[in-house]
Amino acid sequence: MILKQEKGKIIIKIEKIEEQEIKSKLQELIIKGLKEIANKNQVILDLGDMGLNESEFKTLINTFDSLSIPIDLIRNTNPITKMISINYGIPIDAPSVINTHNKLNPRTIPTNNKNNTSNNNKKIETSFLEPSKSTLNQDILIHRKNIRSGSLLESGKTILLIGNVNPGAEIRSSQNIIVLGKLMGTAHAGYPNNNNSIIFTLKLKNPLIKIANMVAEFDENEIKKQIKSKEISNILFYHDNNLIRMEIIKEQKE
Amino acid sequence: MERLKRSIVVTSGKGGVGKTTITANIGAALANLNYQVVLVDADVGLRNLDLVLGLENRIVFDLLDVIENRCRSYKQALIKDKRISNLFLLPAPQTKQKEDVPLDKFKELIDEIKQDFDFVIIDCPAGIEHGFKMSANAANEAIVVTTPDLSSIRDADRVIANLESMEKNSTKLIINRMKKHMVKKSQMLSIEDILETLNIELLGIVPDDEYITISTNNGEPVVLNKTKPLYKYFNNIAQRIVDFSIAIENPFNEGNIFQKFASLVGLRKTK
Repeated sequence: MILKQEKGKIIIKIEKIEEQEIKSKLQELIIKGLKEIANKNQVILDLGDMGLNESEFKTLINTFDSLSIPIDLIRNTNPITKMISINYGIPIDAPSVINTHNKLNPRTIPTNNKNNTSNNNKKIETSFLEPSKSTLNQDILIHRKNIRSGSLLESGKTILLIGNVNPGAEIRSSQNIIVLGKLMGTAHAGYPNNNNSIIFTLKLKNPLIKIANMVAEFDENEIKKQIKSKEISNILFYHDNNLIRMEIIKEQKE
Repeated sequence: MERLKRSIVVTSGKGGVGKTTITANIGAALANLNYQVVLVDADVGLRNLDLVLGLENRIVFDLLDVIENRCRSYKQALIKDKRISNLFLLPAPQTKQKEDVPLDKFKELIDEIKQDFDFVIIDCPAGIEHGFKMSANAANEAIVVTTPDLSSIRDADRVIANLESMEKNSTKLIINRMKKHMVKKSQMLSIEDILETLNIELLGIVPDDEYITISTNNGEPVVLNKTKPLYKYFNNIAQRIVDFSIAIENPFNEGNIFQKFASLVGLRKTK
């Protein structure tokens, strides 16, 4: 087992599936502070080109789980192992997954005003970089791909999804979920018991909404009638007084 | 002559959406276009492709006989279609289990056949278990078949996710059994609705037609009968497999009023 640390990532490379050997090596590393590092970083399990069957894969992940080291991503080139990993709910480390981990560092700030002085630009940049208090110290996982049926995207961080959650797919976060697309599957924010989490989606169609240990029930057609629209857009779900509330955010006219 | 050496899996996730019929018809259509085509039935234990092609009485060896060296080479197990000279079938065993065929051996077999043909089209079994893994692993390209039902679309989506994880990046979609009158009345999902969810390139559309039942029972692919309306849709799909820039044959595109009238009185030429 080889341990490698990159910016915001901790990569555990395994070359041989030997349950006992992996366990003892992990226990050794835990004494040296592996858990603390794993909590602060994204944990990637690098399996090289190893072709694992379902039970081997399950045993391997259970070994990590039993020692409280959750695997965020799998790195592997074998197509069958990749498929098993996705079916098991662990995303594959691919270019479509961007981990911002610490902070956003935009290189350019788009502006239409050509007369802006450099000082003005600076002001915009500063305000953009300062996160609001509620999101301070929170990491964001940005995922730029549709979540397809049978797939589970799970993270301890806030998930910003640029794409759709298709019917039969699930997105689960211990923090918040923001879907810049259409939510048609299951969204579970604040998993397992964080009541302060929110879910926001641009559009929805028959989704299942869960926040912490509560499930939302609502009649989509009734809401459409109420708002006199064929489609519901910009929807925020949040927990309030043992209820999941739904708020339709209207565009603000300038 | 240099062959195209393409291997394509026809899959869907859900059963009963028309994978086998589509495999038989696009295979026959490609063979009609003068390509050398082998259809491989990967539905071990539940084979049907031989029936759709009307070749059920001619099976001597199957793909497991080839893999387990019970015949001299795969060529001995191929059944040549008598109607289209460059169309061949490699049948699946009927008395075995899917798990009896090893993933790597099946891939090796497909890779070997591919060298001598333009197209190897694999009819994948329903589901996402061993049979799917075996078929998808062996092919370079994939065609996902769906009908305009929510259950079929959801299963197709799952299959596409699995294909993506296996890095099959040239996956195309065929929408089967579109009912024109129901789409018009918004009683059925439209092509746009399906594409919004599945988000892959559309290869072709096959409208619902009772004649498909007759042709399947007769063991005669639709494309053998040029006068039937479905002929042009399968032929279009075969052409688009060869050249994706060819326009799609859309059953919802009715043309202008004069073309409509010409079609009604039978003046419109069939391709």
